[in-house]
Amino acid sequence: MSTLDVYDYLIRYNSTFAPVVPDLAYKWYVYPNNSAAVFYLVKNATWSDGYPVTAQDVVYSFEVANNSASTYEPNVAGITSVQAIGNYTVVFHYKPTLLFLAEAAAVIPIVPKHVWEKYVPNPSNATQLTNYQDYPVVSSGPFEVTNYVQGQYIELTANTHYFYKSRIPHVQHIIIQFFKDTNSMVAALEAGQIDAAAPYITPVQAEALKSYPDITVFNGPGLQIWYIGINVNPNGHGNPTLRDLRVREALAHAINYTELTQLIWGNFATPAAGLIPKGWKYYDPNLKPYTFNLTLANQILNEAGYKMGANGVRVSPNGTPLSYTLYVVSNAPEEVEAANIIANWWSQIGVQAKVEAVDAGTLASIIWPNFTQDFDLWDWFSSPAVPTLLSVFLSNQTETGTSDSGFQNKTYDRLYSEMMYAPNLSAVKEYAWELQSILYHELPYINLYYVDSIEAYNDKLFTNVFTNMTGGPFSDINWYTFLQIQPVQSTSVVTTTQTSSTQTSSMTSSVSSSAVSVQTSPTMYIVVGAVVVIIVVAAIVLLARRR
Amino acid sequence: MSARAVWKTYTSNKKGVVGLAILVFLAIIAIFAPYIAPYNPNAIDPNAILQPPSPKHIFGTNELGQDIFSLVIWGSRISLLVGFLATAVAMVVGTLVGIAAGYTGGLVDEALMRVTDFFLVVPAVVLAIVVAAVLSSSLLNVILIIGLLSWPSTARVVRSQTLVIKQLPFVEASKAAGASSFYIMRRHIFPNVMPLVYANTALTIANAIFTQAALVFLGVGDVRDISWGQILHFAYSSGAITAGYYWYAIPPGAMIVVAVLGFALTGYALDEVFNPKLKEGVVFAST
Amino acid sequence: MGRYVAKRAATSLITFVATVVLTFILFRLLPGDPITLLFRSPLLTPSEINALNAQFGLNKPLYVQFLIYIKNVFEGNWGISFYYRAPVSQVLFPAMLNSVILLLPSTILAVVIGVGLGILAGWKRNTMTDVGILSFSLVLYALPTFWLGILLIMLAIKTGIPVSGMVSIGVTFSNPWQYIINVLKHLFLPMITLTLVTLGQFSIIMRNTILNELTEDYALAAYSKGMSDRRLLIKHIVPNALLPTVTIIAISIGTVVAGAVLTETVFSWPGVGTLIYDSIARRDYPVLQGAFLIIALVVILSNFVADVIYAFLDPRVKYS
Repeated sequence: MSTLDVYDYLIRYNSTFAPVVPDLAYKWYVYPNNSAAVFYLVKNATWSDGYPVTAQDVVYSFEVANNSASTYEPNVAGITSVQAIGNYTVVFHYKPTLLFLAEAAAVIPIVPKHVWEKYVPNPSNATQLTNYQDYPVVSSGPFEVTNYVQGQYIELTANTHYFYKSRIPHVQHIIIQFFKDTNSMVAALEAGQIDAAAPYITPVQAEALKSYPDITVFNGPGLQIWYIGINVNPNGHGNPTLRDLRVREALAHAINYTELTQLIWGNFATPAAGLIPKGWKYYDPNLKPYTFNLTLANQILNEAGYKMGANGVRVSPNGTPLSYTLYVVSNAPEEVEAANIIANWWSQIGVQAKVEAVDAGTLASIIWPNFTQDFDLWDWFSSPAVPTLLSVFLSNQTETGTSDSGFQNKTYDRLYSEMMYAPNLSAVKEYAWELQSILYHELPYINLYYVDSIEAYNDKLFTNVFTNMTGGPFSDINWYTFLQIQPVQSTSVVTTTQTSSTQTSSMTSSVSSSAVSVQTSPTMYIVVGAVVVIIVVAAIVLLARRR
Repeated sequence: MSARAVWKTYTSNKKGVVGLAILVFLAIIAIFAPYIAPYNPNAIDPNAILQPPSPKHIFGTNELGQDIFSLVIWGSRISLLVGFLATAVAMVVGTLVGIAAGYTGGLVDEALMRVTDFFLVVPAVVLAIVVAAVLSSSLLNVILIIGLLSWPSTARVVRSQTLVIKQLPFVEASKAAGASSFYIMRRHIFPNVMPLVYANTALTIANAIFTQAALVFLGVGDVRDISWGQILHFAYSSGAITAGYYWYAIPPGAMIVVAVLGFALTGYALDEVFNPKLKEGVVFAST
Repeated sequence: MGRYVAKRAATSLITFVATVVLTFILFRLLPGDPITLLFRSPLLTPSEINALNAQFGLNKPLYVQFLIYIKNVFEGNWGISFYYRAPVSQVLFPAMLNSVILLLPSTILAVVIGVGLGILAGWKRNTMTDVGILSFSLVLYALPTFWLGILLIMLAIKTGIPVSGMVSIGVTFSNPWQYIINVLKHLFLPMITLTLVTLGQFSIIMRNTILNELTEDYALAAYSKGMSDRRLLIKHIVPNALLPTVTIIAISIGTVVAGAVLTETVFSWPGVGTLIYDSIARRDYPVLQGAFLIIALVVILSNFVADVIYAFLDPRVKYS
């Protein structure tokens, strides 16, 4: 939400992720062949340094997005050309796809060419891009960045000259503060030092917060799915028995998804079936979680010839035991608990899984490039607007460090590219459902649960928090909240705080309370005074004793 | 000193008696854990989540419905085991290095001591985190890592004592009689250094228990096996702390205090027994 | 004296060199590389990866990297942080300052209180006071830092005392004094935690040293000459006992820059401890190397200073 409200886009998503809301482009037209689009830009948008926003900025931004060091590169990979016509018209040509608006036009932030080209004169040069520090920020959106300390906080101030008058914010300042862990963030929320906390509060904390009269706990469909990735890479070096679909099926039936979800996330998650979570545009409600049936699982393994060994671990016909290592990321302690519970269930069907918690960097080095793992319990955060999460399973993603299952399936690859160039949106959905069905049956992942966004905020101080969007009011994709939020009293400073973790995904924002001067309590004076006195006296005494 | 004499002196030392009592208590808990713990510590009970202490659950339950009392009882095993084994590693390595450095002197001494200094200079917990990230998080590796942190202070102590013993007349006599270095180190140095090592051992165990808890608490190392640090890790990361579920945090921490206290008291008492003059204490970085 | 100082200086230098080498090796052993971690873009081509590696100097053979590293260390070029994309010194020194703000007062307080209690215990040896102080110190010594921190957080949450961070964010301070007060409020809990945990050691050592001194011949002689307990203590015992304490104090001051990982993590204090902890997860080698080296330098230096002061105060040491 910070980028969303600081920079502008050609167009924006509405709350159901349809890319239909005008922004820098007040009018646009997609050609019937779905391979070209033209955007007409407003003429009165300005950068925070006074320069006007023009078509040249748009062209430059899309060129930078196409840089291979940019995380937006996959979104614009299909664009074959982008041109400015005059100062306020932009034309795109791209490989035929329906998803251009959703994938690119609503996603790429427009950055000031006249500022950035000093550092990145050649937009396609990756090393130049990584050099750019991006502060002071020159932006055109409803908020400006007026201050920031890396890793600590960002201060946003409302842009009173914003060209879109109806979107000028109702609060003057927002401060987004980063916390190392949810405990400090929630403590700050409870103490009234911040006004909102997001996106990750633990279920335990959420339950505890419900008893605070000032604080509202929001939970709704979220942006995250946890899964167990299985090494099915034909060239991988994990336990080869995992390449047998029947083993994977048995494992999938040996997890009680309902109970696991309840234990780990309480009421704040939904047991998973398909890859795309509930609340997202391409979610398939027809897929149901695998049934928990230990008898069935045992039966599958028996019939497949995996005999039970003397120590309770099954062995394959050619002698390989069903003995695995289950890696889990260590920065998600509740998932470590989940891994332990799953390992316990699996032991009841003769499968031994040793749980190992490792940090993300180590896990990444274990998986890529040699695929030495058996399982990795990990998560994805993604955009609900587009089906690109499915691209993780493309065969060519194995080398790039995205596919942790090493899934290689030509039918899947073909269907995916057909989806990207499907003739209409309902066809896209059909493809998305079919792809998910393949994944559901082939089981490169065992999907565990879709985690809700769990956020909390002070509803006595603020109103108009926009909650009607997947991901919650303070997510990365919700640009409405900060524009609509309004203080109940007439204070002008809103501070928000965020939790940052080493995962790139979990950005949280918390809206903190209005500005107050720091109260100086007499206790502090006394303590400070006492400390000073003690030090001085001790020094004198010790020195005097020195002969 | 003969074993009987040691025992007599030791038991007259109040600290020692208290310390020993604590150790016996811990040993009983750890060994008889399956019989003492009322519940299977791994048993999850979705209906009994985060309940305060009650007759049914003496220390209450955690966010998975597990009985905290049983967890704490079982946690003693890993906590103490790592403490002992890591110390064993540290003792062996530290004694060998200390004697070798102290007796040989010269360049060998210098080199060994510089390496020792590296471990003493670098903040211990930080070093542990880095090494733990390099190795995988198995129990064995945790033991090795903590052993790696602890041997330098043992080596230093052993070396000082070796330097003292080395000067004594009977060692000189032995050398004059033509004994090899190895023989002297084994027959003369080692037995006279050992009493000092005993006291140091107890304190090292105390530190090892603490370090294991700290590492697991930070999420480094083995977060699977039940240990006191592991319980605290989940107490913190589940948000139970800020939510005020005090019964989750107090028992495991208290056990750490008791264990460290027990070993420290024993260590100090042994120190007084073998070294009535009490030359120096041992300082550990526990920040 | 000069010979002693020279010898100690040489030793310190060698230790520093050993630290430099071992630090480099240590961090290169970490699995996973920063490029993969920082640039999780799936479509980075091999040539781009090479370019980035070249930029960060990661594609050269290990010994070349090592030589570059040595050269940089001596030139005072600490490199650029992978994560912050800023010079390491810019990242490291503010963090160190924050650690010092926390650790210096805590250490000083711990020393003062600890030494004071130790002297008291030694003086009133074998009385209830002694037992009381000793027990208290032992319990403090046994307290896990992070546990004490957690307990204090639980107690403090309802009272509004800040439980995390160093200063309230986003609040405008109308004068510097208000800012200082705010920092002090945040300092309160972590400082108490750190002080309590550290003072136990000092108290025990001081007590033991005093008891040790009391067994020395000169003490016995003074006794037999009829000197009062109190006079003996103040004029002879305590000053002698303070000698090793001086060493320990100097060393503790030295470790102040090392930060206190456990306390800082629990209270989210933005010091060196948290910086190192985070940098490990990010595989931010330059920051890690810089931090380790500075800490080593300061600690070795303070050890050196402590030894020299001690030799100055106690001539017996030089000849051992």
